[in-house]
Amino acid sequence: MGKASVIPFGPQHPVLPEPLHLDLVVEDEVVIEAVPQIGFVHRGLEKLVETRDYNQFIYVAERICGICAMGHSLGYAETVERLMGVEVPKRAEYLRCIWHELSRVHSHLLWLGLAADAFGFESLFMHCWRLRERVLDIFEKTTGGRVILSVVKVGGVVRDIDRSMFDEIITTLDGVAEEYKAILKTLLNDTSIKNRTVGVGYISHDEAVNLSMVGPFARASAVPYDVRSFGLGAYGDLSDFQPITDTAGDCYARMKVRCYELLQSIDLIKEFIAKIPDGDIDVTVKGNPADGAEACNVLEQPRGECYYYARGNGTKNLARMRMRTPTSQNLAGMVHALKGCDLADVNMIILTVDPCISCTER
Amino acid sequence: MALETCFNPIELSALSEKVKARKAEGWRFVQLLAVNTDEGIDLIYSFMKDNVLENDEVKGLTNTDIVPSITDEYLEAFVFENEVHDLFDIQIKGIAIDFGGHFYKLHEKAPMTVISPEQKAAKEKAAKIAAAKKAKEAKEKAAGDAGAADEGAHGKADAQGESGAKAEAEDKQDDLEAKLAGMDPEKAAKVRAAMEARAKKAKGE
Amino acid sequence: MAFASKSPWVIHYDGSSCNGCDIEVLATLCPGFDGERFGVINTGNPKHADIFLVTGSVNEQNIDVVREIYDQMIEPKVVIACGICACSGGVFHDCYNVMGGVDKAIPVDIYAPGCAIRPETLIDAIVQAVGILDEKSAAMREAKKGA
Repeated sequence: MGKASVIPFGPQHPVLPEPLHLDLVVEDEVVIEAVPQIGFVHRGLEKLVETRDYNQFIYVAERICGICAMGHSLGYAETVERLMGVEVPKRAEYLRCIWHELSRVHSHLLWLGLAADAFGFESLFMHCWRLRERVLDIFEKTTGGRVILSVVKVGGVVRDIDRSMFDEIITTLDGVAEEYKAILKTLLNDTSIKNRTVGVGYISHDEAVNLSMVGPFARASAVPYDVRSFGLGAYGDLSDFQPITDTAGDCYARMKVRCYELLQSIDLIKEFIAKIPDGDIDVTVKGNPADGAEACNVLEQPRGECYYYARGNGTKNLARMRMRTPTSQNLAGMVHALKGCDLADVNMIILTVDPCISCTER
Repeated sequence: MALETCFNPIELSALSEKVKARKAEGWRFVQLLAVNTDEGIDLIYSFMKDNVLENDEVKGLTNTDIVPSITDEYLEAFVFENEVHDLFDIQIKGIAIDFGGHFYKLHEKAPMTVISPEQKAAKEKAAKIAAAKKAKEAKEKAAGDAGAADEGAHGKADAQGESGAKAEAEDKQDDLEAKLAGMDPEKAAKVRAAMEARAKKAKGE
Repeated sequence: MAFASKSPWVIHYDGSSCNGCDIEVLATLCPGFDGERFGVINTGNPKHADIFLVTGSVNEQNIDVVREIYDQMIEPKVVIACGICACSGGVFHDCYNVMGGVDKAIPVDIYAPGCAIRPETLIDAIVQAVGILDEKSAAMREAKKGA
């Protein structure tokens, strides 16, 4: 039996894009316990509903997280629309879903690059981010922003996309998919990558259900839960949607699930573009939320299920707005996966959970 | 399959039983949130099964109430329970991984329950405007009755013109009062001074 | 001639940023904008870095971390506050847990605004930072000669 020592991990670390502190209790290179400490990114922005009215707060909601920015603005807008009983035109729903799926494509490419960098495969990191630039160019051409899009408002969307731009989107995505498939072949079949990821950080199906995990983190352990199956918004018009799952429950499985989800998202975008109806892109929202009215909503962000809650108090300021993001739900699962792993695998496990700490702490 | 949501009120004493029942039936824990209201703090526990999302609400808690932890059934709730304790000052007993108030390092205690002076002023202003509006409505009703009585007493044309003009002037004054009640006191004083000066000028002419 | 200005190494730390500026910092070093052709390399060790790129505002918990990283860097060093949250607090300036921009913790040499900061702005900021590094390096040599 070796001597136990505590190694501090973070908040500043080359593989961590965000500050997260873990105290790793280690015995001879094996991690026995991991105690998380978060709070470095806590800004306290949920209290800003008291000083910003419900139309202005969408700009704050977007900036909870730069990677999931589109998702948060969409979730917030949908929740306030539910609260006030507003029905958004069909074309606006389709446009929102197209931007949201593009956001998922960019997020998974970003994640794949960071995961590759975590185990030292820097050229893959560069390739993924090079492909990601093409998606960011689409964002810039359609909305004006690369990261923070500011294109959703309560009642619809702010701008439209015309036919020629849709054709350009399809051509770009086809190009991305082709090069990406070539990368996938290397990534998923390479022996050294398999050595570092297969069997690492195993979470069984029962543990995943017990810990209420969400997102690709859970789907890799055969939990087939995806909010898009509920058919909210334009997702209800899809011909067939099946969440991508895997049974292995280790880092390799989580990587595979996200890699294939990216290709599924590209197919979804093409289906939306083929089916998008003509019509208005927004509806004028008048009045304030009723006093005491409550609404809740869920949305499938790239990292999992995100829960939104809003309560009105009769004025133009909401009484309470709450976003519960997937990473706060998965923290327990992450701590569990770290038990019993090698010290060198800590990077890999943390990154396959895909933590978004700024979302967790708001 | 579409999503169904609902909100169920629940008593604090019934919370543990309800959560145990939900775990046994296979509900998945979604989240825990707290809302700061004038009547106390509401806690909302959300659970999901298949496509039904149910929210159990415990209303009107204070920082002396002791809430039992649900981490025995749902370990992942420790994140939310620590957060609610730090931000709203709710006492939760028996959290599996308890950070003891140091989950977030804040420089004021229970920041989500703090009501700033500007918000208090805004609430008071809204209350004043509502009171002035009520008073105006009551006065209008009374003036309507009085105007009818005057008409009968003084004879038609003169009485109508006089009481009509009087009522109109009173109405305008009431409108102004309502506006001034809602204004900044300094601004209100300036407006009153300007109105007086104008009235003096009109009298002088 | 300062060696650092021919190939300035950067260290990046996220204070309480939303990540938008962080991913744009990384995007600047990737093939899209290719900061690496200027010799810029992202290092994880403060003792190897010349330029400190900070994103996000400062709060009670991370003010010590930012100061610690700054203290571990070796002179001459330059601090670039990336994004409007690092300059002044940005959209969150009146949140209860935000103390303000990074200049509440450490001295800042260059303020680069944006929400999220654009890679072009960041490249401009790095080029300016290299000029400041040259000046600081020359000043250090003068001081040594004098002593």
